[in-house]
Amino acid sequence: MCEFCTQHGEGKKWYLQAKNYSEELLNDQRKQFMAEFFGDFEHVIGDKVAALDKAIATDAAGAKALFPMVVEQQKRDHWGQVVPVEEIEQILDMSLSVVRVPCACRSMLRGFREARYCFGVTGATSAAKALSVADYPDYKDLEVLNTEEAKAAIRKLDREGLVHSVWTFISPMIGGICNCSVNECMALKTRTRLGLQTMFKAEYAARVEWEKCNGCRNCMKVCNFGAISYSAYSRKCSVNQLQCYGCGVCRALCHRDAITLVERAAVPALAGEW
Amino acid sequence: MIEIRWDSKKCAMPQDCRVCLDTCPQGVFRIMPKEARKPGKATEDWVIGTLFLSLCTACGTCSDVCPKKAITVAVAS
Repeated sequence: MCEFCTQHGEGKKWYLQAKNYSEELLNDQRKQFMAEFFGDFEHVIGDKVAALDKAIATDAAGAKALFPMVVEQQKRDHWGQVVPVEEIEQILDMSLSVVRVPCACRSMLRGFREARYCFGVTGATSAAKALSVADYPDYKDLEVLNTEEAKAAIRKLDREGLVHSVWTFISPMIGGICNCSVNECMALKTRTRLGLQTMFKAEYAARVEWEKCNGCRNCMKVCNFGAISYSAYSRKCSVNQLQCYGCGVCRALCHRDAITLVERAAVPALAGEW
Repeated sequence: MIEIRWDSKKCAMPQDCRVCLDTCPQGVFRIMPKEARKPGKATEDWVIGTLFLSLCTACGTCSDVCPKKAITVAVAS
């Protein structure tokens, strides 16, 4: 159980609580936050991260001393947690409406302004509609998806090895579902490369069933976190659970059904590993 | 310290090329509107900048692949 489940989920998984997707959470403050966030993402968010990166390059210890403060602010405003595909499907079932929008990170980091990897749910759907194309002509039309279309799209991204996560827009309102690879995602990148904890590990960790694994290494190809290793001696793969984020995308490529997710909280060595 | 210089005179349309963004092994670059976005106005001028410069290893891929030779990587002592 992570701190967010305690805080926003009454002891259950916080991102499976319908109240965190309520349309009523979309107040003026959140609307304004989202308009500023997406309206000029490259400068509003990009400049902040660039400044942080520069601070690390010039004075790593000094910059890292500021991390806890940055993380606290993120936890208030905008933070994410990795969620496996079957729970993303449960979220889509709960959401009143879903839109698919171009990914702001891929737009900035890769220049693909039509990379539709991001999903807005409930409150954020309304906010996305409010941020109309007339106001922000850089953003093309919104694709409105029904639940089945959204699920099919997420499954497809899962097979491509993309890590799913949920994101708040002023906690605890969950507004977005992201599907990311590490080098194209601002959050995964700041977390794994700069060490800033703005994105948290899933409630799970993966485990390979030794007997079932045939050592094909498909799982290794999709792991974004370098958590899987292969033994040429035993011809088996194994997961380093200390490095695993619990996204579970490795399962989609395993022909032997050899990888399962275990509850992070049930693994004593992972206590406090988020 | 590593410094990456991008010459806007040589690279007039970065949004149509994006080779540097795509080939950098460390994903150091970003592309952004030259001016802050304003409601009701589509971006016309885009610029290339760095975002994760601390990850740059000065491997030189960007300056090698840039078709306009608009990028230089300098390593200052």
